[in-house]
Amino acid sequence: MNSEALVYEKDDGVAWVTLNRPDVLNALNMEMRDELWQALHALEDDPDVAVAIFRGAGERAFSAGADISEFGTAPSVVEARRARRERDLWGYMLAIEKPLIAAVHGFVLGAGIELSMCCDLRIAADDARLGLPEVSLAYIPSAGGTQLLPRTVSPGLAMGLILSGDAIDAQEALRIGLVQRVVPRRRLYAEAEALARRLMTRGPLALRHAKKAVTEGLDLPLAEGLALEARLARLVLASQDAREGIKAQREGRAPQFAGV
Amino acid sequence: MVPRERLTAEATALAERIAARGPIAVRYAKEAVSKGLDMTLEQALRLETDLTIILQTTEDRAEGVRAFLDKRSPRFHGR
Repeated sequence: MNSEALVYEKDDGVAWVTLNRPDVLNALNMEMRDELWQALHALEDDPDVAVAIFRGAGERAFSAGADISEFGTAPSVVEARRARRERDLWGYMLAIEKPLIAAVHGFVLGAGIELSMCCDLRIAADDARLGLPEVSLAYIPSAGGTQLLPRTVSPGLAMGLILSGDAIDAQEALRIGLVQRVVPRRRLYAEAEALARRLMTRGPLALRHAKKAVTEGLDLPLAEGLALEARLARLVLASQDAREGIKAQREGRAPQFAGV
Repeated sequence: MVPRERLTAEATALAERIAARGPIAVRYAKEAVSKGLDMTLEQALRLETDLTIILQTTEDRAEGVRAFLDKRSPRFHGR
């Protein structure tokens, strides 16, 4: 499925999804969205993929956001809404059960930062600048930014970033908890891969259910969230992987998880 | 955090920055954040999408896109 707009590669259990329009700061156009849709299905359906890493090609940007030259090209707003509801790209990405890592550098703006917030973990290069500038063009974030940012950092800080449209640097993003780590630019992909490989040593079933407990639990009252956690924990405890984990620890060796 | 003597100036600067953005978009962004926090994520994302689609009918949004492509500052009228 590789073309100019997006590159999808697999390397020993890790899927690398590269936004590949570096000449236009990896702006997301329709072609890239089409290929992202395919890549998301591929990495979720492929049993050989355990973790996916998203990155941007070129030196200047993870992604500077949506491709504005394509704005307003839908025949009507009715048509635009129908297309979005029929193919809910960001909703699908948020429902993926496998762990997703965003390795971001340079400009991480608009749909770029939103894509990174559809991932579970974010590692930033020290040159990253992150923001949601939409209101300065009289529109609002529309790939989940107004909902994911207040659920990722404090609602007050999120409101400030969304209403002002101001970007922040990597250290500020780390301070407010928007990214988990900041690393030198040249170390970005090695560190992202090391994190992916670390996750791959954990039980895959446990990872999936832990992700589900956190994401679905956020939508539930505490008592229901705890009940969900208890139900998922029972499922994991009854798995072969859990037995293997205990056995391996007793025998002082690394566990071999099968994902069941 | 800012020094006490800079408080009013910094608050004014922030207010002026927000005031330069599209006024309808700022109102809708505020609505999306504040109402969305009380919804499930799925409902909240739908609210964001619906507000986005309504914004596509505004003159300001067309002006914002035109100004960006023409590399000039936009002139918003709240319409």
